[in-house]
Amino acid sequence: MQVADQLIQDEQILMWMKDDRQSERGFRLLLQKYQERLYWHIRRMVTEHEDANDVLQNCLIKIFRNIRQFEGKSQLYTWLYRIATNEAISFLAQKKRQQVSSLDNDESHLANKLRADAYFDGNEVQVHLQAAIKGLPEKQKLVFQLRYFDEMNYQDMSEMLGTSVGALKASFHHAVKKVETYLSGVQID
Amino acid sequence: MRKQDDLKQELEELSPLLHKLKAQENPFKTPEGYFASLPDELIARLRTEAHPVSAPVRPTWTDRLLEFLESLMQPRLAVGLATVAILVVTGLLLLRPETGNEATASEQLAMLSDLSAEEVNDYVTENIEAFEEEELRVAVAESGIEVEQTLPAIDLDSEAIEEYMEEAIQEMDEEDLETLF
Repeated sequence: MQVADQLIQDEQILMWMKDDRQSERGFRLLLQKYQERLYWHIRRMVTEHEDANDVLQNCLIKIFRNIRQFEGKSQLYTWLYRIATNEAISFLAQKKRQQVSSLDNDESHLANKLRADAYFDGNEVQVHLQAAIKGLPEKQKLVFQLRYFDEMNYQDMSEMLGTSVGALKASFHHAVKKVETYLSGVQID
Repeated sequence: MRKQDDLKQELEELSPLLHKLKAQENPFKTPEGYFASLPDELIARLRTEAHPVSAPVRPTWTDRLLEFLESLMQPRLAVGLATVAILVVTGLLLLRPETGNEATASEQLAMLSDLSAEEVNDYVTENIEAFEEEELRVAVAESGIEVEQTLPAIDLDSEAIEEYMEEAIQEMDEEDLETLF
């Protein structure tokens, strides 16, 4: 993310977005600051670009339409992350219901899918890292992704998920150990 | 956004392997120019969804049939139909052969005179299947009333009806046809 994007003030975004005459201008500013972060958060949850694009667009449309519901009780970015997370979870739940086989959801299936994905060019260790994360329980997976990839601090995470900082730390530590154990157990050429 | 707490140190202590992996480049990619074009795409979508261009709605065959039936219930036409209904019932009673157990035609007529036009109309509507088409035709003819004078003309010639039916059948899907036949 560019330094200039980080300097964009949330207050300015909100003021414009809540003003009917300037809502598009404010929305463009919000996108400039947050679209990439939200995309990567969603992408790590849903894996494929096409899915991430659909979920992100729906999520951003919802944000535009519901911006007046943001009361400023939390930070804007945790509110945005919460909407993105809920949208991705709903998408995954819907996808799971449509899956014919339970094998579609396992780690080896994901590894094969990643190897064939035109928008993934990681090495084998990274393929296994993604597979290891996919095997985590849902809550641990989310905490791991928010902490490890999005580098969200525990206080913000607590605000977003409504879980205590202590519980989040424990969750992250368990997840790290599980991922490490998985990685040490796979043969990497 | 709050200041970053020390993830690096936490990871180093927890898992040197994951700490090392974190330094690697993001393996996920996006199509070229994806982020640059996303805002315009979203704004365009918002504008379209705010003012959807709706296709002209073509009434279905059931809508048109209902509309036609409703037109029969227009007050002027309904009065005409009620008059015909009274005449039909009267005619049927006069034409029906009498038996010993039944009231005579004159008695039946006397009973009929106590009924309102609405009651007769309701009776005929409810029991229309019980009347033979021929009986109805004879009853109307015997009454001496010209139906065309009583009923306002419905502007539908046989060609128009045929055309309408053909169109309706073409619009019906398989399920509708199965229901009918």
